[in-house]
Amino acid sequence: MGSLSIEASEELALVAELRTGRPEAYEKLVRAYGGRMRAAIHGLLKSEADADDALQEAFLSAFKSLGEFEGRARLSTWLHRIAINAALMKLRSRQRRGEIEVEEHLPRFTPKGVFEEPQVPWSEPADDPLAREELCGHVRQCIARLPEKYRIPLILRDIEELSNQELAERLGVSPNAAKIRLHRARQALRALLEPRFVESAS
Amino acid sequence: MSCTVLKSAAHDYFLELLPPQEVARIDAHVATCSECTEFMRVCRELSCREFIEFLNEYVDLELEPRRRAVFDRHLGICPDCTAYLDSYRKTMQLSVTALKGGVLPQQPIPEELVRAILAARLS
Repeated sequence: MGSLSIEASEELALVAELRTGRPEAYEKLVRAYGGRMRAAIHGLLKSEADADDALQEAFLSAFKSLGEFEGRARLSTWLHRIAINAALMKLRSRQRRGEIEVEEHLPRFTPKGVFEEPQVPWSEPADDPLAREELCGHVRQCIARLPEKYRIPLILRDIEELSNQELAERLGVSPNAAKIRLHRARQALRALLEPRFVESAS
Repeated sequence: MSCTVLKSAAHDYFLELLPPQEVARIDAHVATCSECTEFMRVCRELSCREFIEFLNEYVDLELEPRRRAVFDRHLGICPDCTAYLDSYRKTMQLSVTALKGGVLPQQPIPEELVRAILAARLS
């Protein structure tokens, strides 16, 4: 079967068509990108039913925010990011533990600017494939617990490899603010992952 | 006092946790030891708080060379920031692997799922 993915020039035509609200355009979008998005989501979620739910939620969210799609990124990239976020949200709804407060997961310093708690070096991640896959699942669950304000910059940087400037444009904030959000996101994720790598912390 | 003892006491020295006679011994040693004079200067030039605040710029190679050298000197004397930097880098790698590594080969999308998605748009 030939690939259903479409060229950049065709993407723009499809976006224009979608904005007129023609039902065929929506169907074309789902058929052209659904397979790749499903693969991305399925890679993050074990359950097929959850993956299909997340795919549906991803498309509904994409339909709703088509107005925000500015054509700076490829449509495929934009949809991919939405799919990943929908998968993470599904993951979060399956966890008992919800969203965290980022500020509570940043390092604390004394008035003199020294760490309040001594920092313990992390052990190396396990090397066998099974343990690695289990760890990846844990990392996704932790990313899912970050508030959206911090989760989205992390996804944009890690998946779309945006520069700080591009990240700022996409988030609609200053480059400095974008940089700080990404830094906070990594710091909070670091804190959530720490118990895995430090024996005494639990 | 040896240079090793001084380095292990430096943390408490800067937090002003040491008794006055200990502070005096450290000051006396520093006055006669060029290596420890340099060590104390590096301790004073950047705090852990500042190091961590700009850690992303250090990791992303955005600091200009002179500023970067200050950060490198701080790392040379600070096990806390060294450990934090290492765990921050590991976190970055894990995050990329966890988000990117899971993508499977393209899957066909079942017809009933296409229908369900299009129906959900209208409901």
